[in-house]
Amino acid sequence: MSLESRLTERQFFLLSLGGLLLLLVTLYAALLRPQFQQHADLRRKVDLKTRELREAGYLLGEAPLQARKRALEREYERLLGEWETARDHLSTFGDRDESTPAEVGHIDYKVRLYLTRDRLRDKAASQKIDVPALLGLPDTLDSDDVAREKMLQLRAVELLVDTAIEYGIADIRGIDPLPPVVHAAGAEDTVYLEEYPLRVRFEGDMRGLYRLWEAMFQPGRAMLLRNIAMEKTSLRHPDAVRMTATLSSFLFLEEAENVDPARERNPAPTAAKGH
Amino acid sequence: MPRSAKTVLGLEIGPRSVHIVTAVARGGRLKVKRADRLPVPDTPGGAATVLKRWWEEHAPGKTPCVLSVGGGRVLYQQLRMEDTDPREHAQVARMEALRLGEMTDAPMEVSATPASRDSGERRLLLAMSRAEALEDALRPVREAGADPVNLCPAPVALFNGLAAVGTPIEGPTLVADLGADRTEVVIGDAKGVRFARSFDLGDAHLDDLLARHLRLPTPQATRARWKCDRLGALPEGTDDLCRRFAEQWTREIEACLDMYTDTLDTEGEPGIRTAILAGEGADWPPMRGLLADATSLSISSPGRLPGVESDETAGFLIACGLAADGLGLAHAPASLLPASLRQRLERQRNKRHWTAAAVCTLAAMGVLVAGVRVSLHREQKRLQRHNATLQRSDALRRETETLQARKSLVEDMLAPLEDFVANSARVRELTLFIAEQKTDGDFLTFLGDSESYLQIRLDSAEDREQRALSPRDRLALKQLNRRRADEMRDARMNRLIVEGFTPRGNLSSVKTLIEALGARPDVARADLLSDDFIFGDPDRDPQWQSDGHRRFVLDLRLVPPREPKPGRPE
Repeated sequence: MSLESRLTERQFFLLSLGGLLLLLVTLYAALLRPQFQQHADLRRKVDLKTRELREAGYLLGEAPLQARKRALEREYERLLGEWETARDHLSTFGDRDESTPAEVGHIDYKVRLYLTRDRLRDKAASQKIDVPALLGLPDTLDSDDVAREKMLQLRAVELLVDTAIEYGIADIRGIDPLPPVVHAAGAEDTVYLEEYPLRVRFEGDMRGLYRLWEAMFQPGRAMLLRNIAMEKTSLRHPDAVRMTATLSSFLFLEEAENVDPARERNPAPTAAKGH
Repeated sequence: MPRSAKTVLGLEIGPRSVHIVTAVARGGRLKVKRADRLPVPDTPGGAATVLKRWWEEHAPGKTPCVLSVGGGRVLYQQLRMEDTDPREHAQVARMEALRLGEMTDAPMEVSATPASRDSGERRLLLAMSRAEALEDALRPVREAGADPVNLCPAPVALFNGLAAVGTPIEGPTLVADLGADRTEVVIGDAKGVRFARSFDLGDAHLDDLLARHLRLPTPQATRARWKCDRLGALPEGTDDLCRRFAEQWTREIEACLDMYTDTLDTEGEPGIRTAILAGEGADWPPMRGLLADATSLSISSPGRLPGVESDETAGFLIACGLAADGLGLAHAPASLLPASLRQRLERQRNKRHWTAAAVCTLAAMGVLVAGVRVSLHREQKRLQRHNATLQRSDALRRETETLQARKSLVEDMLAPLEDFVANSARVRELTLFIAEQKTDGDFLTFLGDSESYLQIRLDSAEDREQRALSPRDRLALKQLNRRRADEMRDARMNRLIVEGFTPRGNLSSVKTLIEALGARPDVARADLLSDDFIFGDPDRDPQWQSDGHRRFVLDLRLVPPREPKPGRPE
């Protein structure tokens, strides 16, 4: 006896209804639910991204974002240009590799110090300008570790004194090399600039000091002002002044585009160390 | 056999013959397309064999057929419901069948036929039969491959057949079907059936009597009888046998009439005067006269089969009634189909509806699912496009933020250099400006940034103090000065101190100078420095003041070259 013949019409109806419901559930589970799930996931993803962009102020559409990006690119290029210009004008020691060889021993420093002292003494004597005999630099070094730093300080002093002598500007009463200032930036605090400040005391007339000042802006001689104090020294000689200044020479170590920017803004991007 | 949806077979299976009527409904009336009488051999399963052969020959396929069940298989009961009885006819019939089933210890199928088609009819004719007896009746048809759609009590089919062939019924009429071994009796009127009974007396009894008398085998006696078209043609001495048979049959008929009047309240109704004789036995010409002589009733014959040229109408009356039942033309509907078979038939009848409903439901579900999928797919595509736009925007955001970070970095890297350049330029310009603006007689003794001013004055004071200090204290003072120098680191030169002397006691020239300085765009504020911050220089001051000059100290706050960023020390 077949199943059909054993069932009443009501049972058959209920069975059919159950079958249909089962089919419906199966269709839902097999066909619709995965699609609903996929749809919900995608919607969640879209909502999340929309919220992120809105909160960041970037929910503007592609064209405005492209325009903003292009404007930033132009601004960035402009800044890179500024950086190049600043580096070309302000670089005191020239090429890094040439200025700071990897290995500088204290003997190298001493040899250069003595030669420089001799040269500058003769040069100053010929121009009748007083310069400190020792140039404010020590004769002995405890180790090779500071040789590079002292060598660069020596070069800064040499440049300053050379300029002062060549321009016949003033007597140099005192030179005090200060510890170098290190400028770092980026995600890994990349050192991109070393600053070698000299605290110098000149005495001379005002015109000469102005000439010196002008000379400090010339490429290859650039030394920039950190501090300055000009004092009148005598009532009877109106032009006689004493200038105490901190002048910095610069060694550029990294190109701006080579420094990795921090993902999060660094609270002190150019925290200087030293001095 | 050509089939149509309206073609129905009426099947009456008797012990000696099977009557098959193939009929259709035309204009609400029965039309017989074919009437077959099939002799049944006297062997077990003879009827099934004959039917099977006929089925194979005529191939009616699944043409629905209606079958009669009668004789001793069916019990008849006349019933009159109380006027207050709230039950329906079917409920009454089932309860009676239940009651009888309990008495006989066998499940009973029941059919209720109301005496009229009136909705308030209280008189019922119940026909009850054991389920297994019905299965026996159905077996030959099933074996033949037929498709029975109804099982009708033979007396009710007889009455329906009478109405179907168009025989007028006026008043209560007795119809008797003289079969081979039984006689089916039904009493009804123009409204419907009222009484039915079956008794074991057919023309086969007459044949048995003749065979014994003539010392012949029964079939031979039967053939001999059917060869005689009048009573006198029968062998000598057999007419008494015939008369005795007629009297016996008449007594049974009278018993039926007595039962009819006893069980049904017929008072006030006209009496039964007419009997219509049908059945195969009635087709023997002397039989009608023989029975007419024995009874007081007027014996008449049914009408001819509609659509068939045949004189043997009487034998097909039940089959006609069955066909009429199958076509829905029955005057008195009845069914003894077993419940399971009825359900199966209902299911078959409803099968196409079920199929249509299932197809529609599946189609609706399919459309629904497809619609949802299509809708979701479109929404998904839209979201994917939106997501792609957002992803591109996000990529632009990242690129922009990277650029912004790079730009900020370069700005930060440039900042100290800008400060240095600005320092030199501003101090130089201000120095020249002050030199031009100062009034004759006034002279400057100091120009520098505030840090340097403080440092020089402190150093000067320290020098004087150091002279009085022990070496240890001198070292401590040196360290203190070193710390102060450290604090100067990154200091921006945004504040300049200008010290000078004027011969004018009212400081009018100083005021003019301050106003001129204050007008410069690179000077945020120009003022006299508070006395608290003025340091004297005992070594130099006396020479400046010797001519009665008065000291002034200007405090110049310069506009920063670039606003410092948060976190950047000033």
